Amino acid sequence: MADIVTFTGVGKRFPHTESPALEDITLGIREGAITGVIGYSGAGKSTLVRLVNALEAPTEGSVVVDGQEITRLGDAGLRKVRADIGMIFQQFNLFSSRSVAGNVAYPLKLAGWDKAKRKARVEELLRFVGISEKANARVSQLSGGQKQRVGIARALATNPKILLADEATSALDPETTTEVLSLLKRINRELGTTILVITHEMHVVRSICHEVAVLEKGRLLEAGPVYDIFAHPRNEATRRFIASTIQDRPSTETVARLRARHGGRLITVSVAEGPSVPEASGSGAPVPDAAGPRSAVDVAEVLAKVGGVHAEVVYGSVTEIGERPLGSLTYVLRGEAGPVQAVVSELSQRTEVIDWEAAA
Amino acid sequence: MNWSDLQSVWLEDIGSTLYMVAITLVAGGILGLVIGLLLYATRRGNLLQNVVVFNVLNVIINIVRPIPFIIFLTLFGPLQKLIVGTTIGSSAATVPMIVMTGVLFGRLIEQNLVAVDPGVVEAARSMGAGRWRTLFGVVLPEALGPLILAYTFLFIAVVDMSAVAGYIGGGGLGDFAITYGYQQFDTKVTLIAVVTIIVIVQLAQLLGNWLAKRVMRR
Repeated sequence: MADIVTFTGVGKRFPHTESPALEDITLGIREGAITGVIGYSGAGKSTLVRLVNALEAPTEGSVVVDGQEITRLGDAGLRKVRADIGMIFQQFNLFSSRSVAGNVAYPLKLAGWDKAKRKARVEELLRFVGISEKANARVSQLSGGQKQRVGIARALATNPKILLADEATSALDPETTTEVLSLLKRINRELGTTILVITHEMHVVRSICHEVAVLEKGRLLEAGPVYDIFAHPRNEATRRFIASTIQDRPSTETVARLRARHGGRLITVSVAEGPSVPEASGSGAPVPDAAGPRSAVDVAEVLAKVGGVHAEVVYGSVTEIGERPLGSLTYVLRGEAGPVQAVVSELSQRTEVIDWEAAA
Repeated sequence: MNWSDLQSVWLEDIGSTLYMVAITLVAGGILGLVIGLLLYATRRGNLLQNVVVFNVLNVIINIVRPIPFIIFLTLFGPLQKLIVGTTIGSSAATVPMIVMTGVLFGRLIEQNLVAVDPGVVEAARSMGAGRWRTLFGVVLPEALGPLILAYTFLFIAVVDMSAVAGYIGGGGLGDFAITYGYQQFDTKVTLIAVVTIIVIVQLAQLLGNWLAKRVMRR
């Protein structure tokens, strides 16, 4: 499916700052997908999504949202575009002067809905996010998770095509985070809303995103389907990010301990499928291409082929990313030097292998 | 002078104190609201950023506020003549009181509005709320509780001002205390005036606290 947001050569420089907040960003946001924008704090993530609803204006380049060049719009045009873009925040940003229902009704009021229609829509929204019973509660009486549900209901009120989530789960505990993430997933699936998620938490990307864009110091490092970026990161910073959420390979300390405990030849074999091809129907979930799947099954095959080598799994972790497995297994190989070497070279041809003898 | 003679003067002066306070609170309150909203909105990076307006207002406030009120009163002679036609009496005294109150309240409002979470403002903007709508529909309601407390504080400051205004012929309880207490060496009369002022102030504070609590209990 086509891109609903397109950044072309976008730069943003704030006055009185030395380095630009964003530099030469060219990126398309796929319509109907959940796209994660990740990076450490100060990477420019927040600035990037605020360009989408023009809370910030770029100093260079163009931002096209749903066919409209947003930088050329006047105040009135901007207000119209903004009504089509919902936004939720880390600190929820609810109006404490209004009740739960009043918060959700506010964007409808701005859009000029009459009272009866507003009431019906608010009820519907609160039911959708699962807090109907809190309609008349004051915001201060809600828990963090409930507050974010109100924030989501408010952001969805006018049926926006795009939902921007700025660190929407960063102030929540793990259990509530899971609930809010599955709510976002449901919104994407049931309402077809394009969602742009800013986060510094890789597990958020892992559990709900189809696409991911990695930012560092205002620059776009890489972008693409989540599985591809996770399985085949091209950039060192991306690799570090991934290591923070899935331990796809043992650390050097772990390798040293494994070596001391087991002896033999240590190799780490990655469990990953090939690059994905976006599905034509645009449901969001990418499918593996013909080259895949590659997996640890290879090891058994190779061992049988070479013969005389004993392999034992001593370390490993495999998780599911975008409904496909990703991770690594570490083996200790025992046997004559010749056959062991044959196994290692054969495996290296089939999949990504780290040979810890060579690395040491 | 015995109390039966003084009583009618006392009652009349309570009346003129309340009259000065009421007029000042309404007119000064409106003036303060305008100044406060302008200061908040024209601040750098805010809804109606305007360096010139902000700086002019800011400088005026910084000049006016430190002037002792009793001196400020005497500066207003010509202006009082122009507006009210005289420099004597309660109506004349309200002119400098309104100006000082507006400046004071303007600053108080600005401080309370600045304390409103910018995230809430951003949320309103992200929904497509215009600048004015954000200011009156979101920022002001969000700060309402503290603003009521500020207004209560203002009430008390205005009662204080009205007493000072009495010294230069403004009438009211201040005038009463000075004319019949201080100048007649009658401490009792001064005490009566003081107690009356304390009672008025206490009532105002109670009302303000109750209102603010109702608004903030949300």
